[in-house]
Amino acid sequence: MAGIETGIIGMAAAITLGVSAFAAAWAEQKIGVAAVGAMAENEKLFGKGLILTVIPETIVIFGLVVAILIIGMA
Amino acid sequence: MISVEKMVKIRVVAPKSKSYAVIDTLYKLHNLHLKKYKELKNTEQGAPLEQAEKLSAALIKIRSLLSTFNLHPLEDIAPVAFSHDTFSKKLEDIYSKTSTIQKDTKEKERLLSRLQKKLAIIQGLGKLGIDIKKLDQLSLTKLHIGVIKADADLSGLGKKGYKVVSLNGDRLIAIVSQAQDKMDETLEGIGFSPIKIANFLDLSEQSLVAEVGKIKKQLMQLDKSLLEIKIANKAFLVKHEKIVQEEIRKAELPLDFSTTAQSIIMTGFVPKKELSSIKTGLEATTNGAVDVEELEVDLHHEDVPVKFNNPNPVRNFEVLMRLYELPKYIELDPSILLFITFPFFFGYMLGDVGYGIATFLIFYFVKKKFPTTRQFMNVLMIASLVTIAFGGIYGEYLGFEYVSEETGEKWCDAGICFHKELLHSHGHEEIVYSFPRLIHRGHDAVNIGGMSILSVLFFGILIGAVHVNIGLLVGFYNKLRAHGLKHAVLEKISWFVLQAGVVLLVMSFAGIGRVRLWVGIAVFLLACIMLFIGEGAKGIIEIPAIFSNMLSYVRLGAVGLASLGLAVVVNEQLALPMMAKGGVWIVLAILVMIIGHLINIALGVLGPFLHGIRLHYVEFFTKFFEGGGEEYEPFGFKHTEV
Repeated sequence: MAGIETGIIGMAAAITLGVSAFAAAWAEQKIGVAAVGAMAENEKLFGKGLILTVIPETIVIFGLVVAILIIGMA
Repeated sequence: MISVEKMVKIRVVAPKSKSYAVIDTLYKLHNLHLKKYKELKNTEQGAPLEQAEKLSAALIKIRSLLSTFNLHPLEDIAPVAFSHDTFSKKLEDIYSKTSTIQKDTKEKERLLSRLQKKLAIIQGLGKLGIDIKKLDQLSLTKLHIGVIKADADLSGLGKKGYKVVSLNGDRLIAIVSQAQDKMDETLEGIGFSPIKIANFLDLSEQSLVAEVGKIKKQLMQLDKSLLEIKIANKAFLVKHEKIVQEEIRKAELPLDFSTTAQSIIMTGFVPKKELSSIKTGLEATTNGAVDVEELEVDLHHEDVPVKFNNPNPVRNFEVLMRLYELPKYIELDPSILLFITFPFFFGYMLGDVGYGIATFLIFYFVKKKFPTTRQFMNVLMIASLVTIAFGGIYGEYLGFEYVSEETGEKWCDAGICFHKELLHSHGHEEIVYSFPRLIHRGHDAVNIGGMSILSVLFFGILIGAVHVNIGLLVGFYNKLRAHGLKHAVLEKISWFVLQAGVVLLVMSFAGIGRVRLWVGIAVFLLACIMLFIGEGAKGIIEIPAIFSNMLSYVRLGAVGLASLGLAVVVNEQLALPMMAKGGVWIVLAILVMIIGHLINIALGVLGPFLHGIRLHYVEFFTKFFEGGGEEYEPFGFKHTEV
């Protein structure tokens, strides 16, 4: 049976991923709104808007990587 | 292939009298990208050809006819020969015939409605039992016959002394007046409008019915002739809306010209290989009375239009360039680099044989269904093929990495033997037969400085380092072409020196290869100085960016792991335990698998696509790409975008 240490490691991974996912979502929401607004003015900005919107995905991806590394400690 | 199509700047001078012939030839050749009018000495801006106004009027007529006949103009037509005289004669003919018929119809309809009203009143009078021919002047002073609204309030009239019948939504009323002085007030109160008896005296019901029938027949006749005109001219009308639009574009082209009293002058760009065709074409139509002169181009200050020049599979990736920005004329066209790395990144991330086949089929279907998305779908189909290949490398089939002992043995008896291994998961041990693979995404790890990192993540960063450095090399080439060797070395080679410096520093700290610390510091400082001269303070600030850019490629592994994780959850945590229960649960398990994998495929396309393209746009292109090129749009037949 997994000990309390494993549980704490699991919690740490969960918090890492959860908080970074929340941060990414929050940032993307702000950028997404602005991007859609810009697109309404000029449809050609779709490509740039899309890219700008996914830039904060980096946060959650690093979150995932760190979570994987944390789980590796178990 | 690596650079965009070579362009030549030309100036064409032709006599004004040949304007239309020249324009028409350019239209047919479809290869001159015209520059907008710019004021030159002793010239003025050209005016539209004289037929422009007539053509605009004709276009309005065509559109009105199209709406009369309820027709839709054809958008996709081949360019045809156009004679203004025959066209306007025919259009005028159709238009006048149609408008005469429409005028007639309107008149007849008005007449018909008048007659029908009269007929209704006569029939109403009949129902009221009033024979107007027998009424004398005297009784008329006492009898009020007229029309009131259907909802008029008749309570003020008392219970007797009037009769009402309905009449086409209104009501016909006959009232015998009582007290004369109050009568006017009462009538006004109910909204009474009297009818003129005199108008009805010499009308009979039969003659009115006959008249109405006759007009109805005439109306049908008119309708029929309108339909005949429609049938006879349908092809002409639907085709010519577009043709006239194109003719108007031709007639308005001189707005981009400079003119003198006798000649027109235009400047523009032509692909180098088509220069001779434009020369011979123009000389033929003007009997040699034209001068086509090649001009010098100032590559640094002039926007030369950009036309991609890629062989077939690479051509599809131009769509990803358009999504971002066109390269400048002087820049290297990154389409070929996208062709090499984008499908690779996509496949590296999604990497599953089953998903690859599924997405390939989906994209193939979308491409057939919506032909306008062809290029885009081709890109994704190529990416799907790479996904299948990576699926083979990872040994993943719809998220399954192995089959159970039982199935494995059965398959082995049939001749397909997989590797037998012992699996530890969640405290259980299980013998499974794994699919053949080179890398196990979920488990294989490399050991770096005592820390074990999953191989896919580590290789992702390695790929990033290579990719970013390729970007810097391309940047070196671009800078070399645009600004010379000194700029190129200071702005791009400096980054290589910087990386070397950092590697040396790390080596000295880690004690690898006995590198002295000061060597690393010296190389690092040299890079900083080069950067400061090359790019200013901005370069120094961006020093950490290059390493965070490389680290960013860790997403190549991470996005894939997320998608693998979801697939494993669907298969092993949900579907298989359900399957084991048997009965109805098997149906549920299949449902869970279908929905789960559909969601995962949707995410699996979105994620790898966005991250794959983002790695190019943000991490890769920033190393060399300026963009902002103007698209080559030669004057000629223009397809309407649907």
